[in-house]
Amino acid sequence: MHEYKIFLKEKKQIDELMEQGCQIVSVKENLNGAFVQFRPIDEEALDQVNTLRLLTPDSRKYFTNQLRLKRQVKN
Amino acid sequence: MADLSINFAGIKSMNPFWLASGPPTNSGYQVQRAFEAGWGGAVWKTLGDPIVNVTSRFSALHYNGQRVAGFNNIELITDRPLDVNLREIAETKKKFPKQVIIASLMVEPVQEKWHEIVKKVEDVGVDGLELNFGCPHGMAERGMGSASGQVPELVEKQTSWAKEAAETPVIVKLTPNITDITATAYAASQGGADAISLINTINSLMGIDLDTWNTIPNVAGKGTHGGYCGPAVKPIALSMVGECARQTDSNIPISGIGGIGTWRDAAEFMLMGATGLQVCTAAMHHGFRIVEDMIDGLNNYLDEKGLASVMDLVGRSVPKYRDWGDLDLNHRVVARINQDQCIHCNKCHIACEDGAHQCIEMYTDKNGKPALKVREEDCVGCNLCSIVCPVDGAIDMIEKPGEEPMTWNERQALLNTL
Ligand SMILES: Cc1cc2nc3c(=O)[nH]c(=O)nc-3n(C[C@H](O)[C@H](O)[C@H](O)COP(=O)(O)O)c2cc1C
Repeated sequence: MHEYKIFLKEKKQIDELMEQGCQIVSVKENLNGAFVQFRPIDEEALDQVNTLRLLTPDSRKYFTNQLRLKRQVKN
Repeated sequence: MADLSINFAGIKSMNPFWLASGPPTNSGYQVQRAFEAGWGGAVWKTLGDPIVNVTSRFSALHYNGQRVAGFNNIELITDRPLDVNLREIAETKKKFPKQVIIASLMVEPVQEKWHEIVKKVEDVGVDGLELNFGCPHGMAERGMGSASGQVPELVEKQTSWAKEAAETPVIVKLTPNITDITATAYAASQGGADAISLINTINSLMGIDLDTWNTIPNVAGKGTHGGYCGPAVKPIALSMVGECARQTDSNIPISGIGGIGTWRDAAEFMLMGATGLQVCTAAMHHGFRIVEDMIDGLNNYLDEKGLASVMDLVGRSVPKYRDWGDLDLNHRVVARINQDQCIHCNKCHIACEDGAHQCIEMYTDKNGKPALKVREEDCVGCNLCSIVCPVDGAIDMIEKPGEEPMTWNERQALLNTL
C-alpha cells in the first residue's frame, strides 16, 4: 500500500478547503482517525461546515502545521 | 593527557574505573592485583553474615559467535567471615592508600545490625560504603537484597540507619527489578544517601536444556532465577542511569554499572550522568588488564574532544534525554541505498516488506543488473533497513528538510486552543 498517495489526496482536500477561506475550528481524534472541522471565515457562510476524516499520520501532522501557520500569520 | 581523576560524592579516585562488587573483589589478593593493573577503586564483595553457595553458579548467553553477550549468576554475597575480609581490606588499603576501597554491605533490615557493620568496616579504613539493595536471588528470599531494594520505604529507612553510624560517604546500590527506579533513587536520597549506584543484576533464567529439561544453570536438576549482567544489559542500565540523572528533584551523584567493558561504554555512562563507573562481568571475562585499554581509550577521547578533565563529560547528554512528548514530530529522515556499496542481498527489501513500510523496491538497472531503491515519500525513516544491512555504509539515513519543529506536547497544546 502506498500510503503517500492517500496522504496526497487528504492534503489536497485540506488545501482546497483552506484556499476557499475555511479555517479549522475543531479537531476530534479517536480510534477511527482525525475528524477535522473546517468553517468559512466569511460571516455569511458560517453554517457551511465541512468535516474531513483524515487517516494518515502525515495528514495529522500536516493540518497541525497548517493550523500553526495560520495562527502565526494572524498574530 | 587529560585528567582522569574524579571526585565522587567526596571520594577522590585517580580514575573513574572501579571494580563492582562481585567475584573479582572477593579477596585482598585479587583487589591488590587489580590495583596494580590500574583500577582506581574496588567495591569489595558484599559483606554480611557468611553464606553457603551452590554449584554451579554461572551461565552465559553466547550470541552468534560473541562469547558472553550476557551473563547470569546465582551466587550470593561473600562466603568468608567478616574478620577475614576486614583484615584483607586493611592490608590492601595499607599497600594501596591512593586507591579507593568501598565496603559493600548487606544485613537484615534492623537498625542495630546496620550500625554494627558500618562501624566495623569503617574501623579498617574504607573510603565509603555501598548498601547492596540489589541482589535478586537467594538473599531476597531472606528479606535482604532486592527484596528490601524494591520497597522505597525500606530503602529510605535502611539508608538512614547506615547514615546514622557512617562517617564515610554512603552509596546506595539500586536494583533494576522495579518498574520505576527513580522511586527508589529518590527514597535513597531522602534517607540521606551521598550517592547511588546502578544497576545490580536483572532477574533472569538463562535457558532450558532441551534434552534433560533442566534449567541452565541447574543444581542437581533444580534451578532458580539468577541475576543478568554483561553487555546485554547495557542499554537497560544506561536508560536507568539517564532516568535518575534527569530527575530534577535530586542531583545525587551516580555510579554507573551494567555492561561496561570498553572506554566507549564508560564515556557513554558518564555523558548520561554517571560520575563514577563500576565493572564486573568484563573483568571476569577478560581479566583485570582490560582497564589499561579503558584508561588509554578514555584519555585519547578526551584529548580528541579537547577536554582537560573527565569530569567535563559528566551529564553532558542528560539534557538531550527527554520525554517522548518533547521530540520533534516534523523531523524527517529517509533511507538511501548507496548503489556502489550494496551487495544486493535483499535483506533491506525483505525487512521493509515484512517488518516495516514496504518502501524498498527491487528493479533492474540500465545494465540489466538487479538493484534496490527506496521510495522516499513512503519511507518513515524507521532505520530497520540500515539495521539489518550487513554492509557498513550501504544504507544512509538522510535528513530531509521539513516544517518548523513541533513536538507532540506543542501539537496537543495547539489543538487545545480550538
Ligand atoms: C557472579 C556475580 C556476583 C555478584 N555479586 C555481587 C555482590 O556480592 N554484591 C553486589 O552488590 N553485586 C554483585 N554482583 C553484581 C555486580 O556488582 C554488577 O552490579 C552487575 O554484574 C552489573 O555489572 P556488569 O554488567 O559489569 O557485570 C555480582 C555479579 C556477578 C556476575
